Amino acid sequence: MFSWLKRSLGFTGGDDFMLGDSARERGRVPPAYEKEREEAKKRVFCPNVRLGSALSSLGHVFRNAENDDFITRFLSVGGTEAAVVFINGLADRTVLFDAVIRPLQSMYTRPDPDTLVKNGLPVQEAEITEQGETVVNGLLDGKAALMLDGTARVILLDVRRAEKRAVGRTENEKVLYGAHHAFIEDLRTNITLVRSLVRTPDLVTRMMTMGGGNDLRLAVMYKSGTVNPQLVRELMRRLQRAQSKNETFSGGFQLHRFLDQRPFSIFPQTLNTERPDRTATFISQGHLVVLTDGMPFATIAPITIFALLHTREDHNIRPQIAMMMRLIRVLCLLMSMLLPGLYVALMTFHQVSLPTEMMISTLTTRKMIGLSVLGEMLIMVILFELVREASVRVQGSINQTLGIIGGIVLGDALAEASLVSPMALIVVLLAALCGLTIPDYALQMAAYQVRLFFLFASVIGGIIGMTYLSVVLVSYLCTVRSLGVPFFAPVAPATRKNDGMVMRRVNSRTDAPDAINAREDD
Amino acid sequence: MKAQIIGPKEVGALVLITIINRLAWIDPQTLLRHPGQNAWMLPILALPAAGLTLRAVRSLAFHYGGPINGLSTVLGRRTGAVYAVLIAVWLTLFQSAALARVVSVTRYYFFPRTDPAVITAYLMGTLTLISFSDAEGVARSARLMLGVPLVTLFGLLLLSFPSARLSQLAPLFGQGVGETLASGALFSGTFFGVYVLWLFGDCTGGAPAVSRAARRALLLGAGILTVSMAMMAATAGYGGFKDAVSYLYAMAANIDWGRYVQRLGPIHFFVWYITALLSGGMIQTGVARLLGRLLCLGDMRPMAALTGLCVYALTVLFTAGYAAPLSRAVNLMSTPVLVLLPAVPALIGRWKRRRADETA
Repeated sequence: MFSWLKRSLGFTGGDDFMLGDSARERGRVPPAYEKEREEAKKRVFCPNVRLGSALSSLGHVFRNAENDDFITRFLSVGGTEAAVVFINGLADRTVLFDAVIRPLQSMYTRPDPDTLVKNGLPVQEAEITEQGETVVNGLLDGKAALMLDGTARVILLDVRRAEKRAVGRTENEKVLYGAHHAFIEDLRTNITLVRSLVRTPDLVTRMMTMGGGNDLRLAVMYKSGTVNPQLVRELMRRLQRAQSKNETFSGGFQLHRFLDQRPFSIFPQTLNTERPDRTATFISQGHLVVLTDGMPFATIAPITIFALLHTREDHNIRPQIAMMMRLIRVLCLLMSMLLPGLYVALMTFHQVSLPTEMMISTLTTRKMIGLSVLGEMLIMVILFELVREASVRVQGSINQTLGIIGGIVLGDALAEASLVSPMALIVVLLAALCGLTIPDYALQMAAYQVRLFFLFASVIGGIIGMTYLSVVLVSYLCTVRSLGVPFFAPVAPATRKNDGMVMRRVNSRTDAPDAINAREDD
Repeated sequence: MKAQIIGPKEVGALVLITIINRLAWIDPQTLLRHPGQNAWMLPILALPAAGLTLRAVRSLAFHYGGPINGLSTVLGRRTGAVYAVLIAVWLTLFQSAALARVVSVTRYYFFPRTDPAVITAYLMGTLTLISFSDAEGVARSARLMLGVPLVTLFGLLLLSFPSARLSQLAPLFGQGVGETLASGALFSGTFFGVYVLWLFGDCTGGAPAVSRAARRALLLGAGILTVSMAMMAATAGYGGFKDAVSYLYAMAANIDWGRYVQRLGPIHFFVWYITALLSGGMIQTGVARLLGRLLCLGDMRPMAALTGLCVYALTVLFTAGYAAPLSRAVNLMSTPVLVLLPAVPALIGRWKRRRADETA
């Protein structure tokens, strides 16, 4: 912004590279970058009958002058010049050698692409194409391209190498009763996991790519016949709109940017789960699931606040107990948001509501505290969030130690040092504990932020301030929608068939809640 | 088929919440001095006027959908527009008079040293934010939060029961027929919640189930008011706060659970402000929608903010006492205006429909 001033004062000399003095700051893209960008757009692979030209064109696309991963293996097949092109690491070298190069080298007749695909090469998948874009995408997927001199047809051979970890146990959504396997980073494996649980021909998987720079694969899964077709159209419209934005897309968690109707809301409008069984349940109920390559989570939409408060275990235990657990979670959500604010309101404005003994004891413990009630609450809330954040980042065994140090030792030390009162400590720890019972991490974070808002509202207006904020919050949340479905459905608006708080008998349960207009299977 | 954004349960909840809201602002002095032992009769006496209003409102909502569409069809485009502006002005005055009372009570109990203009600013800011969520947000919030005042009221009545003396209730017209009827007529303004059918007419889809829900909520609300006011009259004299402004506050503050909680008053108000905010939000949203539709605005939020500003100015004047005659007039005229506003276009509409049928 002040680059002209810097230049005129001599802080920067000419075109010297300097961090911070970026092209954006100067308000224009440098000519060199502009030229390079234009050239990159023009770089397109065009299959050619002359092998040399075709390889040159393809090499130009992959910048083979500086890219060591772009491998070209020249061959002579029955007297014809040929080349096998692949990306190092993505293709399986052993399969490539055994199933492609060795059979090709042992051929003595002039090769024909059709014959090669049908009889010549023992690979699982092979296709012939003349489209340059298909060849480039195939190479990026880990396929090998076989190009022969004299023909513009390129054979794409499936020799992909799958680098993936085994299906592991759930880390964040543990249950006592229920399956323990979780998604991994491989898209195909995740689709298979879901398919193994939703065993119906109605299960549809639609593949697409996202991101202008990196073309990450994602799969949209739903149960055709159950899902509302309008929801599918809306999701695809949003994803296609996101595709056209030419924005680098690096994973499933960024999906919410494109799927949220209120992108600036602190409340989640999609649900991320690492559990295939939970995903399968949502699919059966008519929800849409998006799986992304490289992300061990499924993104589910549309959702309601009740879906964010449910766990997979609710379906595996007795309905009465599950219902009680759900109610406790709702109570915990409310307490997590309201408790610190309520404490500040009671201590600041409405001491008369406390029983006399409690009022005396609380005020006595506060007598030596130098900070205001808001001050001590803020210290405790921020301290707890520090401990929580640190315990998430540090490695395994230190994790528990950190929790103990943060939660007990540090809290006790603060109380001993008269920085906070024991009552404040109890209130914050109780609010934090309530927050941790919320199953969805995004909702936990939202509750944490709302807790701060309530804290400030109570400082301004006590109970009245909290009431004002709570009505505003509820009326705002009533207008939030997830892919068109109201956030508080099926309570507001009320619907007949639902999966809200009340667990029904197995025979009365519905697989198609009204809130998402799902069509029930006959 | 019109879109039904607000269903029967939301409409019923909104009607009920606006009726219950009235209880919190009945002050002991007024209750004891004016209707006194006859307090329990007031909702019953006011019910016919409320029923007429509901009938007129239902007729308009059922036949013409939203208010602007109905008024322009029945009265013509220009006269309809003028009538819509009159409704907006009346509702703004009504809202301001009601909020002036809320502000006074808030100041009395919680912020005695704060300037009423500041308290009004907080209240109006909140109401404007609520009205930004439009009819959908207000009605669904009412549906979500209805349980809170209902359960609280039920608990309060149960807890007050031991200190109630049924001999304090007059069986019928204890204050005399004329005075009791007059008090009952003035009480009709309590049932303004039925306007939801008209003001949010283009969101309810004109479904018969919606008007049925409003009717049931009206009857249920009148029942709740009757019981509550009877209890207020029966426990009169037992409140620990003779100079209390709100009777329910006095009742709540009299409850002491020993070691667990004492003087429930402040916490109790947590509940009553919910009803006040949702009732106010409904009126403000209704006015904003009315004016927004009249001016063919796509977004009604600017009108909501403008209405908020007008209500703020009027409430400050009412609270300060500068516009006391106007405030008194609004309170006195609430019943006739409440009935007449929808009744006039409803009757004209009916007459026009009948004439069209005869011509056909």
